[in-house]
Amino acid sequence: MTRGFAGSGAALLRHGAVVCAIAVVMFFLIRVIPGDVVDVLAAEGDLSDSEIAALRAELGLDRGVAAQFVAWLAAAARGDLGLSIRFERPVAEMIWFAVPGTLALAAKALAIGLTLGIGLAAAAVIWPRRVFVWLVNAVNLWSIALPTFCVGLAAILIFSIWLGWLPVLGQATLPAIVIGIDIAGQLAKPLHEDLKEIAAAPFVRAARARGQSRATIVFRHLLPNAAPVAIALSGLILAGLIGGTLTMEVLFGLPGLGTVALQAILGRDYPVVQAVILVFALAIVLVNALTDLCQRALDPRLRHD
Amino acid sequence: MRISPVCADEGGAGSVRSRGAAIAVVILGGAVLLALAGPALSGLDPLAQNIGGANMPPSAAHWLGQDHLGRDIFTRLAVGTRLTLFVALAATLAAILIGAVLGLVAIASGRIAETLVFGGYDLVRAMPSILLAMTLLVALGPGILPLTLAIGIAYAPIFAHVARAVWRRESSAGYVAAARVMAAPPLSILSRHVAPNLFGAIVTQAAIVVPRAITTESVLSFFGIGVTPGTPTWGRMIADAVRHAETAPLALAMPVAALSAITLAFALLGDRLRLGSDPLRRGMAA
Amino acid sequence: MTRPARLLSVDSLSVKIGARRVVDRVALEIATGETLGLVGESGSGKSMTAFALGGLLPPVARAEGIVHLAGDALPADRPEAWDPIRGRRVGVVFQDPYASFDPLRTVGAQIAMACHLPREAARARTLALLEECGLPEPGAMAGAYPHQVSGGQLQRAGLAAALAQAPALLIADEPTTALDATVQAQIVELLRRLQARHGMAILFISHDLAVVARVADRVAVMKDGRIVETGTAARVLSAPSHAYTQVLVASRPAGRIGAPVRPGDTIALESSSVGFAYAPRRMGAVREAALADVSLRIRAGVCLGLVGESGSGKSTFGRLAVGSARPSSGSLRVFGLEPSDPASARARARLVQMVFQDAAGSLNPRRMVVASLMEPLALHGIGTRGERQDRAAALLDEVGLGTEHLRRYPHELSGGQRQRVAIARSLALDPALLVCDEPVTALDMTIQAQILKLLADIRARRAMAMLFISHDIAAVEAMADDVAVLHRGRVVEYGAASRILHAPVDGYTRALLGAVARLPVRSASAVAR
Repeated sequence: MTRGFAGSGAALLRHGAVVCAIAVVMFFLIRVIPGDVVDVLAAEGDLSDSEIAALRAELGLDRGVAAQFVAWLAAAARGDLGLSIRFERPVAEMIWFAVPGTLALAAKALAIGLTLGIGLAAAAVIWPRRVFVWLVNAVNLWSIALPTFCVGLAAILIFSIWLGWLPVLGQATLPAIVIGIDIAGQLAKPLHEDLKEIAAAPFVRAARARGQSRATIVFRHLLPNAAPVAIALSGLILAGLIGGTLTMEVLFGLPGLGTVALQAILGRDYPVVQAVILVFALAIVLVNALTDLCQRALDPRLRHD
Repeated sequence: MRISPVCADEGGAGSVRSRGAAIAVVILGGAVLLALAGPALSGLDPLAQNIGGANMPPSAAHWLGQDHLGRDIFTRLAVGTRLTLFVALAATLAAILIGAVLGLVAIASGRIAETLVFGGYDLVRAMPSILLAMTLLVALGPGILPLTLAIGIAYAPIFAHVARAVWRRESSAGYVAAARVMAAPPLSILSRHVAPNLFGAIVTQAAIVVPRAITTESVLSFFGIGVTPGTPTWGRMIADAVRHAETAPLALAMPVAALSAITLAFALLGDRLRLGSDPLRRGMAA
Repeated sequence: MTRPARLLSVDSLSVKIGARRVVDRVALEIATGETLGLVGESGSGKSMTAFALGGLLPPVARAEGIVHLAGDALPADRPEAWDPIRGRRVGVVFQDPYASFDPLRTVGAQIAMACHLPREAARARTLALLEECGLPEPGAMAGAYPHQVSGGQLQRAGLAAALAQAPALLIADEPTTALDATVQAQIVELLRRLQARHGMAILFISHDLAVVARVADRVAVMKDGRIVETGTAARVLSAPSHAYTQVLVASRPAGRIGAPVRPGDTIALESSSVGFAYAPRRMGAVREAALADVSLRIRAGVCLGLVGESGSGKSTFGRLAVGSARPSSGSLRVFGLEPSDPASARARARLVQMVFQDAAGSLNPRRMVVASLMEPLALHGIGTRGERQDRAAALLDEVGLGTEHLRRYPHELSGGQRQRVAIARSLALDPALLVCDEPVTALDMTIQAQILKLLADIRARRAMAMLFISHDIAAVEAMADDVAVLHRGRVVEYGAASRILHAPVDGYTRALLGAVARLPVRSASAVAR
């Protein structure tokens, strides 16, 4: 057990290093962007040259990139992510208000996706009816062939414009369904393959030979053995989902991190861009770490040795 | 007790797949034809505005109608196909170069290089590809080339990991051990034994990445940070049309349909390639 | 002698998979307390017969026939008819103990589940069963996960699970094949003891005649889905009547085969105090067994047999000899060269070549036989393209294959043919020393005999030195002039084969030789081929 935890400790360290490295790389990358927020503001607000210089000095943009980085790092260490240059609000506050929207969308989508995906895969293995196998394949083909961006647009076109069920924009149910089906498609097929493989494993035959009932085999051998794969898949899907919600938010006009990110990038609002990237990276790394941890907890072969 | 039927026939969706390759070829062939010959066929300028013809339905002159500025939808779609396909294919090629080629060079140069380069891929992977491409694109400025490069970087880690997986599997294969006993130099092992499998794996992966690159390009253009404004890529057309969808639905439906069709085609192609490169299935077929 | 009561009988059992009839109208009888040995090579249908008798056929298989089990008639094609039988009246123990336990649950939990008793009673019974199956610490065993336990111990636990409901019939499907010889002998001993105590009947399935000879009262021989011969073990093994049984009995190598080779003066291989330390485990790397202080010498033309159980380090030594690994201490020279030295790798490759256990894996599935055979020639710039092609054909001829095999892919060949191709390839550079790492282990008995004969003939014809690595004492006896016994990385006994195999001094060697199952009566008939 101790070695297992040491293993996950090393993994956590690696995940932490990734987040730190992203913070550094992104900071410098963003500084490479030609034109800063003052240029954008100047173009919008007709500022004089002296006003521009004063604004740069006030924002610390006249200092060298390295000096800016040190200042940012020192502040970030105190939990101060700085002020949004455009909105003159604390970045932490903007993020704080945006997170629930994104989280709600992601949670709804994930709930739909996992229920549908795992349910279909399990049903196709437990009841050998062709309809479930057909559904697993169909939902898989759907998710490969139809990106959520397309499905989302098509949904807007059909429900909002042709059918006139208007309040499609600005609410999260439709995008959550769109993302949910996508997740189910990515999950169901490989999970079904894995379950089929486990069902054909010698230890299942051995369990039958020991007189285990069908229900015992399904619930105590098949499903637990599929769990590590299901979790690994969910982890991968979740990492992709975090990016996918971004598109859906912008498409459906939902408040959330995606909308904040797009506005910040278009407006060269460095502190916000940095913070959003950091939050996304943290989320993905957290998902990876959790996936690791769950797999270790579930599989004794990973716990020991 | 039967846990599951072990049958080859996988039902309805399976039969769509068996005809998939043909469907894919038809769609992709149509797209290439549209991209190459489309603008010449209609003989219209994709950028020419005609406020008098705004939101007009299809007619003899304008086969798919006109958008909110009276531009010809068919011509814009054709030019968009050309740009979108070019960006997606070039970005995938860039991703293969940055991912598989650089990754293999790093693996061949020793553990330190491997750790550093794959650490870089891990960084890229820890960011949503859309967000990364957005940031890179803003850093690089708008345009076809930066767009290609940004998408290429975002998808490079996928190819790097595919290449590494094939490399590891192959270098522990019995026939590679036998080749080493024959004193085969690494280059010979790479070209004789690793390359064929690597090629297959990368082509299969490319079929998955190309449609994603197309979608990413469309989303970026939709956000207004892809190509320069006015350039008719599908994403740009969608962004323009979505605000006028009620009056000119065809201007939105057409690029969305084109995007769906092309991703479907690549999905079917990828499926076919995956089955084709599975040595077990090939062994059984032979 | 009156025969005891019939426990199980079937008149005509057939199993079809698709259009193929893998079990063809098999008739069997097992009496209470009796052990029936079912012998056959891979693809003979013996495992499918066992699955049919245990009600364990996979869904793709279609069975026909009525199985009579102590008064009940069970239709083989109705899986639900077997629901009250599985575990309760028929227990099964499988070949691979690791594969027959769920990796996520403790051994104890799985045996307890097999008891079908209330929780506390099941736990007590589990401990009692484990103890009865010769596990000294039942409590520790019950709490362990399968991967934490050795193969032999886990097979004992598998036996405990099979006996959990005290079945009247135990089907043992190759229960010792995956285990080392000394462990094999212990499991066979345990089976006999349990049978003596509980009086259950055993259907013992094996490819290994010698093991069957040890346990079975009666033997049935299967080939291509049919039973070709049945009779008492003593009669079938000593005086087989069916031609196939005769070949099978004769395949068991008995003593040296092939003409002896006059030893040369040069030293083919010399190792002095070679050590090999565990490398830290890396992703995808083969975990190597350690070696310590191994000093061996092979003179030109001599065959050294390197014997040991799994993990003894014998394969590691083979890899050192061809330069695939580097000793961490001591020195190893092959014809005066250091095999792992990259500078002399090409010269080394022309002197030493290797035949691997896994012939299928050692041939690239994407390349035709002719391409695999021409690869070493091309690498060393031997001949023109046309000459290489002729050479490939000549090599195939040397290993007993025809030119029609040149344009085949590995998956179009049988296991024996693949190993012949691999041997041909290893001869392409005319090596003076051939390292054979378990060259026949993965093959069927009759094929093993053919490949051993081929290797012996080639060695005699080419006056080639050989390092013959095997766990199989009989195979080593057939091939080797000298023998070295490896145990946990150390050489425990080393000398002339005739001396070591007949008068071993070391305790471990004696145990190893004692554990080897041999046919009780040597067949008088000559080697079939």
